[in-house]
Amino acid sequence: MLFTRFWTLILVLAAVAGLSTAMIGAHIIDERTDDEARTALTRDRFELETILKLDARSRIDAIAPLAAQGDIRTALREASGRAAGAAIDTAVATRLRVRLGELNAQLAEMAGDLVFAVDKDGFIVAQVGGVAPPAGAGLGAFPLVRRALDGYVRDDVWVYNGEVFRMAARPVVEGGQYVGAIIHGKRVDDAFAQRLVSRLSGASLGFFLRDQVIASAMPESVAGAPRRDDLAAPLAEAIATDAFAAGDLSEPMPLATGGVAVYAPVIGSAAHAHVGYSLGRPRPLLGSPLAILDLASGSDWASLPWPMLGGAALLLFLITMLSIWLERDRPLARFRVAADKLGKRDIDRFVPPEFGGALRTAAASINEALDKVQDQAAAGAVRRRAADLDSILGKAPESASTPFFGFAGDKAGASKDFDLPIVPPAASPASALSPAKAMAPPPAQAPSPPPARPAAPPAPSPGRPAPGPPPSSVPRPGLKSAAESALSSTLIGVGAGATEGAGMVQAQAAARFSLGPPLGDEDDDDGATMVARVPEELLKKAGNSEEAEQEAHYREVFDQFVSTKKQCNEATSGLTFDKFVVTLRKNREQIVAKHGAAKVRFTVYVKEGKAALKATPIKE
Amino acid sequence: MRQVLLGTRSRRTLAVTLVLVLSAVCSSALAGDVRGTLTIPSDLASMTPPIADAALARARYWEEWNGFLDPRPTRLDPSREIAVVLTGDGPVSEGEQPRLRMQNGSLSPATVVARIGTGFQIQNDDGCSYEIFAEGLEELSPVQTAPGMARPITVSTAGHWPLADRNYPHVHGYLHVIADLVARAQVEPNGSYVFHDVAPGSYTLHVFHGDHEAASTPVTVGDQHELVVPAIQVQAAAPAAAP
Repeated sequence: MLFTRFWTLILVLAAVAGLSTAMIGAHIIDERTDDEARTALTRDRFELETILKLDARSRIDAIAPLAAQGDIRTALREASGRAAGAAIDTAVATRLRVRLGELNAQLAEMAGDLVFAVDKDGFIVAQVGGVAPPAGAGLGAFPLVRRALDGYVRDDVWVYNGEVFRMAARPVVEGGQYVGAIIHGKRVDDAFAQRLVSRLSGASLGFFLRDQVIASAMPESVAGAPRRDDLAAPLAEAIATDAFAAGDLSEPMPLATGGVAVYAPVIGSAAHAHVGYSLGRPRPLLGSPLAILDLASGSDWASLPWPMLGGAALLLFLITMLSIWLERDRPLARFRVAADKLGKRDIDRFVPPEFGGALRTAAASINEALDKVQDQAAAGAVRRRAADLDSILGKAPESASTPFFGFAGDKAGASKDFDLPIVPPAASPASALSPAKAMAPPPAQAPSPPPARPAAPPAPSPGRPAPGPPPSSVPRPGLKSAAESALSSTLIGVGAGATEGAGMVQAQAAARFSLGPPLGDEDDDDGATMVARVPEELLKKAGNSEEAEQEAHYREVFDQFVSTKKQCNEATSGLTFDKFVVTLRKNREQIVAKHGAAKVRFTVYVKEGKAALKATPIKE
Repeated sequence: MRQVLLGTRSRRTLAVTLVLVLSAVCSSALAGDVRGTLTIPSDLASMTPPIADAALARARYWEEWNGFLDPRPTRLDPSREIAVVLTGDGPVSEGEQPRLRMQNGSLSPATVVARIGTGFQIQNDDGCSYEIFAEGLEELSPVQTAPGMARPITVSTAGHWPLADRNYPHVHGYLHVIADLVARAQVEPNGSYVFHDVAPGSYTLHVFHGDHEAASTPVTVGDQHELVVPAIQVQAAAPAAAP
């Protein structure tokens, strides 16, 4: 699975890289959107100031006819000529108001919402629009009026009784002297804001007086354009900024609805009262990398190299599938086939080198587990036979039975395994014969050990009857002659060191030959018969049989060891049976001496990819 | 006897009342006017500070000469900027005090002198609302005064505060609140002034221009009906002094 893991890592890295790219792309787009919005607002402000300046000029020019009109000049001359402190002649004031109204109406779109005619000192002689002022009211100290009375045309922005007006003023000259001025005001309202917005490219506009928006308009064609309330929300904060106090444009301020707005005071004395305007624009931030897709148009999608993208996706998919098949599915299939063979007993164990990675480890572990199970089953089977023999034959005489019968293991039937050092190719090989090996046919790849004694049947698996024919139908010459000579009064058995599975079978077989059919019991184990005494010659034969079996066990272990080393790609040159068996015997003797075992089984297994031997003492 | 006693009590009460009335009449009869003239220099600076060029650019888009008639020179009405007051230990003058007004777009007079704890009013004679306030004085916070209305003000703390309007940057003034203010006078365009009904006593005449005292002189009012104070030269920029 190494390639699959590496490939997965590549895919993950590619995905992370793609996601990072998308996120960075979204961030860059957001930044550019923000920059564009800020730039657009700065441009909007410049355009708005230009428009307002032109508007101021237009109003100054528009009232020129009023300032030059004869009736106006005459009335203001009369009003300015009154005695100091005297009230303005009502008739003059009335006549002037009427005439001023008529002339103002003729201005059409430029008609003022608030128009004053003031005398040479700035006192109001006539007023059109707004609330009528009290007698003696004046505007002389207002910079706009004062400068107009001094002879200048000028514009300004006023807060007048809670409303904001764009003001313009012109002096009135009559008789070679300044006799007054015409003061003209246009209210700042939604209509004016809408007119301005129509000349701005996509910006919302709001005029405010302190923290209240007094007029606003938004472009209808712009989705998400900031509305009146949006612009009003940050007003208090915007007014408090140093930039606003200095008369400059504030920094772009984010709006609650996602837009951005700038705030600036108006040009004029009303800036003192925190009168200003706000320009806002939507700022369609992506927020999520996936939102980039929403920005793509049909042509964007069409411009993608779909065949190449599809081919790349297919290629990646196929590579992924191939790696999975190579490193997972195929080994699993092999393992499954091996498992099937194991289940059908075509093989008695896995061959770990045939597998790789975790499957190799799993195969080795399964092999070990099989060995342990079989060992424990063998030990349990031996102890059970003893019970069966006792039940069948009754308690044997103390003097006769004790020397001839015994079972491997102690009371608990415990056995202990010993790992032998790995046998070097030409040094000290060691081997053990698995009980399963004795029971099952040898694996195809492992050469069958030469039988030490042709007549000896395969050793039965512990706890399991021998698969071979019943003893009565498969007489073996050696055992049979021994049994026949012993007859019913002869003790059939093996010495203390020959009571493991194969020996027991032989003894049982011999007993059956001698006793005839089993005593009404189909179980071979139950059918085992023990007699009180064994003839000397039979014991001698039995001793020879044990040696032959031991020799066969060594041979089988050797063959299996050599085979396993080859499968593990280990060198086998110089590894001879003679040297190998010497090591096995030596180890056997040491284990027997140390643990008092009756027998020692050697098992070949793979440890960390190398062939190894395991010795199991059998106490009987 | 009883009638005699009652007659005696009545006569005593009558006598006390007569004495009090005569005292009041005599006192009133003794109070007189104090007149004088201020000599105001022609270069007296206006309280309205000149607008810097940078600020001027923010004040309007356009300001051009009309092209027909030469511009008029800037005019200053000193009577609207200067305050003349009497201070001293004598009683507060019961004569008519000049009104404080918002007129023709500005505070008149722009220099306001008031006595601690004594109420005064600012009358709005113009057609627009004003929101006069004294920076740093809570008792004179920006409150709207509609056209034709008057705003009553009482200041309980002595001090000096600049006055301004919330809506109109050209409105400037200065408030002096002092403890021993006796009388205020209206300065006419020609510099003349009159304190009405000033009780005999020793006083000090102060001339305030904005935040500073332009002149001061001791004045002693005797039994005469009218006292004429010699002309006072107003200093263009005298240092401010607490009265």
